[in-house]
Amino acid sequence: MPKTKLENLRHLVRYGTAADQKYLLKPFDATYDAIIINANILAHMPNALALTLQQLKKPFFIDPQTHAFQHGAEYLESSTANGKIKRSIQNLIEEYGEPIATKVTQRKALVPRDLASPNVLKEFCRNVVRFQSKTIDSLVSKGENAKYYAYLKRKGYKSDISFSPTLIVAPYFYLTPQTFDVWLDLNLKCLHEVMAEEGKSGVRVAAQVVIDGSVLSNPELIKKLADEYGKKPPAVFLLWVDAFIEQEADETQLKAYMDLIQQLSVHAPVINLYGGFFSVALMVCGVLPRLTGVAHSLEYGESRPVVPVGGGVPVSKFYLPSLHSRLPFRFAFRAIRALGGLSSVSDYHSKVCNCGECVAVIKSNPEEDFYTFGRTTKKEVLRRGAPSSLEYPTPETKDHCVRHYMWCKHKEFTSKLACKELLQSLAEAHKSLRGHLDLQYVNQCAIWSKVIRERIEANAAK
Amino acid sequence: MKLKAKKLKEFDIVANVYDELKKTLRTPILLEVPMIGRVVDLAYLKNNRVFTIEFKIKDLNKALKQAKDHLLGADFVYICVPPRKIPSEVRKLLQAEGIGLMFYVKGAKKSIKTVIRAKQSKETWPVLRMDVMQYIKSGQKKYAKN
Repeated sequence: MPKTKLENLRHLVRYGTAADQKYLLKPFDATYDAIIINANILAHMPNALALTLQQLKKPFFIDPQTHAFQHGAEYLESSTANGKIKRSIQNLIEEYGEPIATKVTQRKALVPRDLASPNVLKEFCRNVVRFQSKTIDSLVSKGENAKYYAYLKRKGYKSDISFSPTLIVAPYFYLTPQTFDVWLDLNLKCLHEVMAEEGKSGVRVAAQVVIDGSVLSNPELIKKLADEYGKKPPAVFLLWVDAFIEQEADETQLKAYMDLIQQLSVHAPVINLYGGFFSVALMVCGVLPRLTGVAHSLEYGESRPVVPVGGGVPVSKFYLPSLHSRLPFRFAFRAIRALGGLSSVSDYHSKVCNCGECVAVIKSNPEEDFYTFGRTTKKEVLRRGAPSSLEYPTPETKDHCVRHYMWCKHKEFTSKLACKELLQSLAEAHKSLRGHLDLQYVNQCAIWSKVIRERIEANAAK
Repeated sequence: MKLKAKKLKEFDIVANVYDELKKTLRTPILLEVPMIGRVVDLAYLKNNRVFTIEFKIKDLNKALKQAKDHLLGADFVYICVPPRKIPSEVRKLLQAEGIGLMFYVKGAKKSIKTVIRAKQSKETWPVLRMDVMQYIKSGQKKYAKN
């Protein structure tokens, strides 16, 4: 696979589960630039992933998820298999070797001194890198298409026959204010070790920076983070702020978030691993020129808590394009009614959404057709001993919602709106919906618009 | 030593009201009715209209929030609480939303007393209302068999 320029990795999608696959293949393969694969998924189903990547021929990289081992073994255990370590994690442990294997066997969390020995650190880094760089490529070279790829190689089609990741991520660990220094020191050692080894062969090495949200409120820690990484910068930063939901963040948090990206990007481009429309708008408006990419999962992954590692049941919600946010279905309905989208098909398509999925679904009567995005099945369960009912989105409902979401994200990333128009659209959405929904679902538009405008003015004044 | 009066539990109230309405209304009635992300405590059909009741022992504001969502799938929406003084701002809110209020009077011959009559919901979404109606009817048949 050719080495794609970093600035061409704008829209990244995370491959979360096997069920995600159909939303990455045609016709959606044309809507995004690269795929991020979680290491535990790769360890769990390497053959299926190798096949998918051969079909897609998209740039990809692997999140090694090394932080998983610093939180305690309880986060690695299967909830259904009597305390056993999850199979995908067990496979990963076999790949990463020591000191992880021993620590997990002892049901202990990894601590920085476990990697204090230079030799242990070197071996650990080597294993983590090898897993990322070789797993897919070696499966492809042994697979059904191997002869074909060998033929292409002989013919000089070098660009299509390697399935190496577009960048390698150094082992990384989660930083909180309380444990900041010790883990940062280890993160830097891992990064420098991988850069020393891989840099020789021209491989791009990324530093994944995973921080607790409270780090954002500490300008000294942000500065220290940027300064320390800046001494010997990676090719790119991959940023993940624990459970940072852009739609729920206040002005101060968003400003600190921008400061962090700004300071890191002095040293290398930044890709936001879990970002929503605020991050996309920062890119579109060019507010932070070296924020080069934003990633999300399918439908539910514009933010993610660091623990639990993997898992979680996605809930079907409707992504309302004007608010750039997923809404519980009842609120989505109210919003669409308020926007005047239920009067006619053309009103729906002009005032709410005209993505491929909405065009296919909303075709005769929006008031009836829109229920397609919210239909549920009901199941009776016992809660605290009393009978109760739960609602689950039907598989069809989830399918419609994810397709709609994917088309909407594509539109956002490829928007031709000028920054001024984009900010105007946020202000209009806020104005037209604030009287119809709880403010928590609307106010992000006003906040985003304000902080982006202020940053543009501040940049201009410099 | 005086024995403390047994506290009213929400589920007991719901069950008592359900039994009482089932006898008096003789119309499809069901507990725990899902409605796009909410579960209505009790819903029944009367003259081809959907009625819902949300029960709460204490938190009237929470009940109001939940009841507002019921307006999408029902014709008439009620909140039911044990008798208490209702602050005037809550009363105004209920009236503005068209949500009715009932008091549950434990031990009374007729245990629920309408304090504010619900107005016909202006928010009803016909497709959802139809879905809720069908759910109540199908649930009624299922439980009748048992």
